[in-house]
Amino acid sequence: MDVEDWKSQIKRGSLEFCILLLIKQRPYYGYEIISVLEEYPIVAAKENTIYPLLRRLLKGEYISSSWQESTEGLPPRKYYTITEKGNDYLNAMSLEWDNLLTAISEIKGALNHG
Amino acid sequence: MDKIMNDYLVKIEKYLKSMSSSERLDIVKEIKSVMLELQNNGLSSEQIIERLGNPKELAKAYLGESISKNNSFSWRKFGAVFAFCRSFAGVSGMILLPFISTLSIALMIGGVISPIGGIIKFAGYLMGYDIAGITIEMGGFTAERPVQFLPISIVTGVLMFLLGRVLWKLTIKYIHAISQTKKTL
Repeated sequence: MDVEDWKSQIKRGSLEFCILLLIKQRPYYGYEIISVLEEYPIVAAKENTIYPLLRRLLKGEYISSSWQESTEGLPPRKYYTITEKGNDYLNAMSLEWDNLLTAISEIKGALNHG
Repeated sequence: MDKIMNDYLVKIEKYLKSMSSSERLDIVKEIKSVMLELQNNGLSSEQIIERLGNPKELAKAYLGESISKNNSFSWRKFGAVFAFCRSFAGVSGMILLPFISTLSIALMIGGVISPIGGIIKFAGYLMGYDIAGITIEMGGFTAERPVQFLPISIVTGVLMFLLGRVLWKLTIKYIHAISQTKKTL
């Protein structure tokens, strides 16, 4: 038993959720997503995780993408937007996430008072 | 874009050759874009390459995602499985993966053909012909009466098909297991 293993499982299970939560707010490009996630060690992931994951979400039509030219010598960026299917998926995930939080806090409470 | 980064992109493109060219170009373009972003943030080419990791591993992460997405069978995926093991799976994979993936497909095809043969033979019998080209022999046992023929061919076909499918799923699981990038994050 190793807390690092457990953390990597948590990360694997919640990255999709985090990415969709971000993209739901406004279109993001890949490097931007990585930068935001990097602020939180529990969900921080590098390019070789995020880009293949984005590709999978794209193939499943949970997100869509479009290339946009940038100004001032910056490279063109590929922006990701959530689709209707992605939104449904995200809502379903949010519900389960709340269920998980409730379960954990109730179990914790039961232990504290029991 | 200097030589170090360019070489990296060329390698990625090479490893992704089992993908359609539009998809491959899109991936390369996006990796190039992130390289330039990192460069703008002051990282050197060496640091960028190190951050992105081994090009083989990165390509594998892309391919692993697209191959092991679901367990169903398609010819396109079959091609991808083949290209994948040729490029990445190493010595054990080079022998095992082509072997089990080909065997699984041969079994599935055999599973379909066997009952068809049985039906043709049985139909021939009903119409009074004996189609000598179709026979069943298992070790010392030979199905002589046409009445035995149909059930035996169907049972054999179903068994072969199921075995083929189990093997196909094993192939996919095996690829999952060797796509370490996906597992370790």
